Amino acid sequence: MAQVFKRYHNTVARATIGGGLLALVALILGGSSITRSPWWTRAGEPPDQPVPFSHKHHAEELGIDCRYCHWSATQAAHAGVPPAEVCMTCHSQIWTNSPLLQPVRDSYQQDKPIVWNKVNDLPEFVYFDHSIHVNKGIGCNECHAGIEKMQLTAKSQPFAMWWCLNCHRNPEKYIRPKGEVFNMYYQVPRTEAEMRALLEKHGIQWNGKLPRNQKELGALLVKQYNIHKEQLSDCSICHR
Amino acid sequence: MEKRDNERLWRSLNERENAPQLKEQLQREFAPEAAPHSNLVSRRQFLKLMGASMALAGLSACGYKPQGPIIARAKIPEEAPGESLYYATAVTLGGYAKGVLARVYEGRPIKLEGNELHPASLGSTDAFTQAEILNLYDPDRSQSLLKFGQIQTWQAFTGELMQQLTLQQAKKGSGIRLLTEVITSPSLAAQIQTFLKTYPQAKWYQWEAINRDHVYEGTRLAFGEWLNPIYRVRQAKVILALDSDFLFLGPAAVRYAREFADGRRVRENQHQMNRLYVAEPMPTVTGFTADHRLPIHSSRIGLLAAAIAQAVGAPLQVTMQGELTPEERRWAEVVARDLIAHKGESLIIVGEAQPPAVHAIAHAINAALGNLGKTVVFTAPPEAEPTLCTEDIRTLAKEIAEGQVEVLIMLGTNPAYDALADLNFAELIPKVPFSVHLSRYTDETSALCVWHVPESHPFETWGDARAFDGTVTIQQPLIFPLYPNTRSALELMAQINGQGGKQAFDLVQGYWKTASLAPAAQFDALWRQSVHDGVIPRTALPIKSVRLRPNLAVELPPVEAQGLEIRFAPDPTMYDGRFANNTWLQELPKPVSRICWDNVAFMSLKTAQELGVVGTEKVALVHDSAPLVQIRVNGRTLIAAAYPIPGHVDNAITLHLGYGRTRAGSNGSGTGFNAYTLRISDAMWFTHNAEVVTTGQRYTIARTEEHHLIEHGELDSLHHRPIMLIGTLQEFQQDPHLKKHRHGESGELPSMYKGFQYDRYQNPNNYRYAWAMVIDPTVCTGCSACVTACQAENNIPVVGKQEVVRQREMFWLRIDRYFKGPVENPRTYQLPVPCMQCENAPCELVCPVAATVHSEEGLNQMVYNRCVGTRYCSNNCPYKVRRFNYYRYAYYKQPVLHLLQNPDVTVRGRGVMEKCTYCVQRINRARIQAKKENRRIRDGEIIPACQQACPTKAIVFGDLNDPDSEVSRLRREPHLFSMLEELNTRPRTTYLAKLENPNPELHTEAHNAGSH
Repeated sequence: MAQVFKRYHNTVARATIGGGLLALVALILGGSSITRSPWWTRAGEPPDQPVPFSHKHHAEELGIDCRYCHWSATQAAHAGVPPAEVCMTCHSQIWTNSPLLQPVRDSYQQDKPIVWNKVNDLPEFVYFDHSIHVNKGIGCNECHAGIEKMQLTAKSQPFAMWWCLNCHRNPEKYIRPKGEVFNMYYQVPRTEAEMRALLEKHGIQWNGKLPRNQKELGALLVKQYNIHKEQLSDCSICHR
Repeated sequence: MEKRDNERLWRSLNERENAPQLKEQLQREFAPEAAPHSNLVSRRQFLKLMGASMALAGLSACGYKPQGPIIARAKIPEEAPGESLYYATAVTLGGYAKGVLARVYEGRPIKLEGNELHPASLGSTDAFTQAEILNLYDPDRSQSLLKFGQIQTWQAFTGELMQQLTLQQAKKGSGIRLLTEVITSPSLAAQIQTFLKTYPQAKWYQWEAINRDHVYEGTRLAFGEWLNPIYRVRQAKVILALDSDFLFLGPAAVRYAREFADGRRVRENQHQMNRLYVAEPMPTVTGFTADHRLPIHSSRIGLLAAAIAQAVGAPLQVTMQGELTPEERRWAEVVARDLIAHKGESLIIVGEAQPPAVHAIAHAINAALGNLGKTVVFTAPPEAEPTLCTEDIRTLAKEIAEGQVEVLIMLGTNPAYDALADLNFAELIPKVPFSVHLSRYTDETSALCVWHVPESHPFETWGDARAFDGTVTIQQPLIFPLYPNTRSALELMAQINGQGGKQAFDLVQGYWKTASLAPAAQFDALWRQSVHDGVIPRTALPIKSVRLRPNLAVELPPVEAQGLEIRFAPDPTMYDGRFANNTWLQELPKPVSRICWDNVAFMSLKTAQELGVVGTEKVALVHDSAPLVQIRVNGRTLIAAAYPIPGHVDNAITLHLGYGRTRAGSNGSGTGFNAYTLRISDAMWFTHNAEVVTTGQRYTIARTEEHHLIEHGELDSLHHRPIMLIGTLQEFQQDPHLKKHRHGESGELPSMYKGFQYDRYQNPNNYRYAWAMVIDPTVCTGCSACVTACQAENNIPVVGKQEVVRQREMFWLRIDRYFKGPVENPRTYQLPVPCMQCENAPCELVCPVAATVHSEEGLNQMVYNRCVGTRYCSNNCPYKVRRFNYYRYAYYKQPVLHLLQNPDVTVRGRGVMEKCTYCVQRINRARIQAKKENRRIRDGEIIPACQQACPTKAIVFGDLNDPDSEVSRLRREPHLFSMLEELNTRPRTTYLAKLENPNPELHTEAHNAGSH
């Protein structure tokens, strides 16, 4: 009987095993990068809205503070979508005849809610609280990066658990002085003078050694703001 | 052997007899039955579908779902979005208000808490109050006006009603009868008075099946007028309750329970403890809490009272027939001596079932002991128009039968179901040509009336009500009315009185404006304050000074020595039947019997054996299927399931009212047996010469007494691990550690496993907490308010009777009931069992997917979205506190029930394990608040739902890292005890010893044995 396996089968076998392993790695890497990509998480895709509200116009060009509309972000779990009454504080005076604002005027006059489409969504079993983040030095644009540049609002981050944990495990990488939370143009100081100015501006004490970078600044702030870092990855912090 | 028998704790008759079935059950974690919900899908089909769906699930599992809408408000709201506001209002039962603070989340009330400022609440609630929120969202609530069952408009109704009333005007309303529940609401009563002025010949009757007629008649006998007794239980050192469940039922029960508990919180430096004697036929919550309990027929309570009256030298003459047994006489003598020794700080309370003469005797005893004005005070009745309900309903029945009634307006009662059987109300109502019934359900009475008018829930409208002491609460709306066509009784009466255009708010406020509460200039401020606080200041009725009538003589009804006695009692969860469609209360294991979804005919084991409904063999005495018996009394019959309960008096049957409803709604109809069919006006509360015939049929009952059994081993065996530490006050005074009752090792035990490292990250700047709970079974009455509160707070679903039979009830907190001693009159112990939050948690070690893990603060966290449902954790939990979702119990089909759910707690799906979290949502809320303010969480800032509801404050939660917290102080008490301590699970939930204060003269063997 002739040989079933020829010599070249060795090569085939090696290639299959090696290739299989490689394919597995590629599958895992590919899979995870796909599920983390904006294509999958829909980051950057603005949903349709009843009123084409522009954060770029209001926040950047006009310089309205985040808290003017989202005042509850500092006090409550939800930052909230502003009631029509808030819009009407200005729009009862300007652009009073704009057809784009008709839904807002209707809502205010008829006491009927505007139904917006959610941009940033978390699963039901996740309990996120804006106020504690805002009060502990997590800037708005850590999660809503680039919001001030958006003509139409889209989410800019994946809002997945791994992404939350990036910060919950290492808050010092992201934290900033509380006074800079609503500053959309905050930059980590790059020079010693800038750092000193920043800390002095916000009255933050440092013991002898001035922080040199975000990591050192973060560590200082985590300590000063009494952030119980080890606890931040307890399940019940977000899931209950 | 006999002595050991008296020492061990047993949970059921079967456990007492060491039934083999029970042993087998103890070895299993889950009930054997794996049959599906309704057998719709066969196992094979299920696997096929499962396979297909698993394949498809892989394709769809991890995607980002389309994101839902955000509904923005039009106007700037009072609260920040997503934050709750608390509003003070009141819940009424039997007409009397119990103050609550309702948590309202975005316009929907989701949880009721007690109102500390309200005299009937003192910050706590009972189970009825907790469940009221479900009544609001009950999908079976009536939504439309009906004429003969056909939907009609308000216009049609008011047109017809006004036409009828105009006809009556000529006769000055002589054909009009108004039947209401007992009304304490001043504004509603004022509307009714206006109506009666317009129609002077019309009559107003009130009816409550559970009424206080005998209480008022008793005070009339003793003092010459109707009075409302108020007990100062806190001041009483010795309390005697005669057939009275004063710690559980009644308009002031929550307050009395608190005051009673305050008199027996024994601590290392506080050795005062009151003593409670109870004489009653069927064990009640009060009887289970007593230091001495005497099982006695209801009809013989009078004799007992008379004997005590004689012994204490009460100034009255009692005419009676019948005699006490020697044992009863001795009991009476000992109790009398104890009462005499505590003059001015003793108290006798008689239940509403006892005839007026017995109430009068009790007043005379209280007078002789100098208790009047000290432990018992009197006010005028708080009802708007005090009346005798029984007289009222009898007169009404007579008038209808005689054809005098042409227009019958009923506000909220259900006489077709709960009126006395001999009046035959269901046949009388159709004899009235024009009848109107306002109610929240199209119930038994609605079905017989010409018109049914849907009633608003008190949470949807303005109203007012008085508490047991007269204090008025303004009820404010918590939610926009769910259904547009509903009206409150107040609105309906106002409409009849021609004030139909007025809003309920104007009606209520308008009434109080004229009530000269305060000078007109102050009214606005007072009104705002009253609505905010939930009480109107200075509205409590003044205390009247009373004097016993001279030459007081009473006659006791004759005692029938022969035959079975039947005792009717309000159901512990259905009350008079009004909660029949409330599934929380249906599924709540009844505080004494631990049965849910049904009532049964309770009797003693001996009587059950004599009647042949229970075998005499020493194996399983009680089964999930109970024998059906036919009870015949006074020419009426009822078929009910017979059920033996330890501690019931022999030769008697107790029937709970409130079951067997036919039109209660989709959940309540058809549950249990209607005891009202035996209740006649001459024997409202107990009757005699009943006959019982077995039918040979059986009936499934959901008895939870043997569910979630803790394996604690035989008493003398190596495996014996004590569940409770039980001792007497005397023993505590000698040795506060109660060492002689402790078994085995305690304290820090060595372990092979490395424990959780709490101090891994030592950082003095950080606020770290160690949550713990201490439960004091000495003051726990087992009332189960905590269980319903937990259910409301944590979105715990009900599973239905069939699933409860399969041991699948979902309560995170259960109350274990233990007996000790002779089956005729055992000692009883109630033990609330939440998750122990073990530091060495057996559940955490066995989870293959790390779905249950430890937190920094010492909680055993349950991560629902990780859980794959292996149930290993539950199997490994020695305390049996974990619950598994066999089905999608919590996914309500009716949209209105979605309003009920607490947005702070995940709704668990099928295949997921769950358990008590120490109300982690409340912990997180307080932690976030404290962190924002850069401070520690204060002691008492976090109150879990169970602690909040507990009338006796038996549950204390707090931080062990704070040495001054209440929980830390309790953990340092010498009589602290951990359940199954030798397992070295180091539970964070611990218990104090259960202490009893027996009278040495009545010391029974069960007391003596003391160890278990």
